[in-house]
Amino acid sequence: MNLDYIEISKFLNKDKLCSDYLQLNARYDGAERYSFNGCNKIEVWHKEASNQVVVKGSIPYFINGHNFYSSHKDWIEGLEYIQGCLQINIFSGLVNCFEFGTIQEIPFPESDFLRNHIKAKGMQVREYKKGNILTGKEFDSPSLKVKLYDVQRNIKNKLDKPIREDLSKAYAWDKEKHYIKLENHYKKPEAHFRGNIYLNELLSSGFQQSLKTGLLTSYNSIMKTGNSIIPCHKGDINASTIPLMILKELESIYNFNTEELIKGKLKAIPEDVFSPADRKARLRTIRDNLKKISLQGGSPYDIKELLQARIEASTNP
Amino acid sequence: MNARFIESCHIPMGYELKPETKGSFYQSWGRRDILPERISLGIFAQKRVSQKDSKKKNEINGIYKKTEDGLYSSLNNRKIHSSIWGAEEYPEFYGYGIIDERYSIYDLLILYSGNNCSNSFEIHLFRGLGKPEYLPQAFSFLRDYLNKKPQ
Repeated sequence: MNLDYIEISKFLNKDKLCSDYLQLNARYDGAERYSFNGCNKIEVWHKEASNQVVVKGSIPYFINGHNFYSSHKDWIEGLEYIQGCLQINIFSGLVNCFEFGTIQEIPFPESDFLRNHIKAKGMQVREYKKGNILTGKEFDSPSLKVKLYDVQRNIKNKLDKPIREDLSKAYAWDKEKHYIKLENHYKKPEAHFRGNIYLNELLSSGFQQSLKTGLLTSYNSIMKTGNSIIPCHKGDINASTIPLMILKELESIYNFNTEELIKGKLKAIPEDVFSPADRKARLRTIRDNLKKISLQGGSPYDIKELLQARIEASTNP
Repeated sequence: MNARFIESCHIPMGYELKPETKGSFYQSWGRRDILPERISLGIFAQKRVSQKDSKKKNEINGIYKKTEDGLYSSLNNRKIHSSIWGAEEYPEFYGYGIIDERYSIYDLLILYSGNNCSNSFEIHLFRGLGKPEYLPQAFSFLRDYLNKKPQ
């Protein structure tokens, strides 16, 4: 579990930004945008009027070339290198936004996993697809965005072969297995944590622990489906049992009763189409189908126990 | 700091002695927008009798020509200078220097030569790694890099 993308701002007051290690990319009215090369680039903005520097980017990508895993030591080394080159005390900088997350191996295909994570209370859901395949979901609120995505696809598509080989050797990454990334994107840390967050505070062990707990809380707030028990016999699954299974799984999430909804719909069909006998016959079939469906307690796609174990392992390595 | 990151800071260049000169080297390969094309190797100032200076192996100096543009051409009147110090734990290298602490820049130069700098040498520049805590990592990286390099 580690920090990933971050945006840090720092007022320089009378000091000057050292741009010897930066490449100027663009000049705007009152601001300059530079890039700073490492394994991957990070962005450095200089706002002239306020003499403010903003450093934006993924420190794991900058220092390691990937974000599969980065240690606290990697972060400190990366930041010390940046502050040495820019000649600023970056650790006293203000954190504008940041991401904290983990990559988790899962025992089912990524798209199945994503499909069964439906919604989170008070958050808007956005889906990301590549063609017809679901590749990610975001649960968005004004100060926090919870991101779930198929990280295996990113590793295969975005990372070079030597890095993938390193991941296999160092972290046992396996191209045949399934991995997702769960991430809390703190869009407004000052609102979420009720006060400004400085980089030194963010890197403290107490804060890191609270971020781990926060990640698990975010994950638990996502409502999952997939808790219907699949009948063992082919004969018990006909064409109309499948939509009923889906409806039954969604009942508790969206607070409705499948049977009542179906009854209502049957009543809405005019009598010249459906006679009372027709309605009774349809309802009887639907009830028979509903009897074939039973639900289990939790969703098999819920990985909270895996995440819990990961938190414990990272707390007591 | 991992090898991949150090690799991203690494800029190798080669210099060869100009015939009939004592210590005037011209760039033969590598990026041309970093150091001056001509570099001189030699201690021209009188060495002080101090413990520190006794470890000094050499000095490199260079001036960017008017038509040249390089990484350090805006500093020190277009001149570059670095003392070259020996690194006991890495004897295969001629030595190392830093450009340019006077301007709060800490770029590490490691000199490697198969002929003790009599005919040619390689300068391996590591941007931002000229601080004591980075030296062992840069030297180790370069040792691996040169061992893997086809001879």
